[in-house]
Amino acid sequence: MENRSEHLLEAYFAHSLTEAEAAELTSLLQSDQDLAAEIRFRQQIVRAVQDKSLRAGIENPDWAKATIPPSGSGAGPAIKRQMWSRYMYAAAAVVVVLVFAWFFIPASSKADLIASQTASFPNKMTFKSLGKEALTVPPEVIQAFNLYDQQNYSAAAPAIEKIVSTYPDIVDYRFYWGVSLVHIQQYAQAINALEPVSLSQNDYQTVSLYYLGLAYAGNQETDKAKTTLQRYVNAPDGVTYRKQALHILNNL
Amino acid sequence: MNGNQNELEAFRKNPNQTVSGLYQNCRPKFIGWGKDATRTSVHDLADIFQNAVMIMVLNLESGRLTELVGTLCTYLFGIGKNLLQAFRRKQGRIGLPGDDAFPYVKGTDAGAEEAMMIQESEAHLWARVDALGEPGRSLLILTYRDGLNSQEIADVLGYSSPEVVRQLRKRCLDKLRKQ
Repeated sequence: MENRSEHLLEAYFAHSLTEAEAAELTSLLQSDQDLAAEIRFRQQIVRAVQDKSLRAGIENPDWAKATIPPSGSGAGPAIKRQMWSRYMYAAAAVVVVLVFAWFFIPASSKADLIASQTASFPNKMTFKSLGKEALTVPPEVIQAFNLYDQQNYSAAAPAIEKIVSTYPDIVDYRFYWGVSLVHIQQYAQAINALEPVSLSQNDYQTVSLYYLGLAYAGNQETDKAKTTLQRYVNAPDGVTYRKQALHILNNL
Repeated sequence: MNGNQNELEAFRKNPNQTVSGLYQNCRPKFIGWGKDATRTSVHDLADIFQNAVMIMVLNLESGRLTELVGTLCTYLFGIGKNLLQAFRRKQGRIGLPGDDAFPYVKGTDAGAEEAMMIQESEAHLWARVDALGEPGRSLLILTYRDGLNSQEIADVLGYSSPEVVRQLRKRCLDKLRKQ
């Protein structure tokens, strides 16, 4: 393969294409079938390695085991030594709050519980022109995400739903649509939006389990909610909303 | 033997204790630095630090790390900075038309069947990547999962130049195509 094409491919997979390079690669892909096949092959590799760990490449089992971080299920001695006093304070605070709640706060409904544990997910989409008019992100997409950024979920949900209809292959849009629906407690629709996100390999797959679990809980599908939230809590990658997920799990 | 080499020797004698020490003392520094410098989330920074630890161990095992210029913590910072740089680029990622990096799985029966076939094909491809062994396996993960460029991979895996990485990756891709 020519050096220029290889350079563009490397930049594409390193997410460092400039706008001019993106336009050049798009043009090359339309005229060069071999290059198009090559990028598809490498995209398959992207999906195949997406959830794989470097750890399995370490042959010495003791060395591999040592790389497991002390947090989560494989909690090691280091973090326990450093954190135990904080955990004790936190546990004591939780007990005080629970006692207070037992005596002074009337039992809240399940809906209130779910709403109170629905965390805001930051908009991680980055929009910019790819250098061609036809490739520019349409204004309705920008507007929909502006509503999302303002946490105006009742307006964001129908706006994002429209762009999901227009771009059904972009799973990212589906995820933000589902999150908006969870926020406005449209749980049945949220399940439809989020289930495909939780089933495919993508950047939102893990966190989609949290919102899908909330949607199941809100839709009175308790068993599915428990299974999904437990899958989220057990996920090997970073679990940002562990506290909220556990809270729901313990109260379902 | 100087103090830095003692850290490598200590790891070989008691890897668990040495790495626990790094998680206890070095990880908070890395996360603190990363938060201030890049406003990346704590969870993402913790994941990046963990990957840096695994790369350090892979480098020790392969013999690419035999001598420390600074401490293990500064070595991990060096790897972590490259990983973080790639991570931040990935966050700003936009796709090309027809980009199917994020396949959409339809809810219909036909879609579910299609999704299953895709999963099987990915599992088969992963088995071939895994069969490459080290360092090809790690090189492909760093390239296609983490989005590191050849220079960054040369830096973190201790190769002399990005060209060496490109040649190694080309050989791996050629093998995968032939399998």
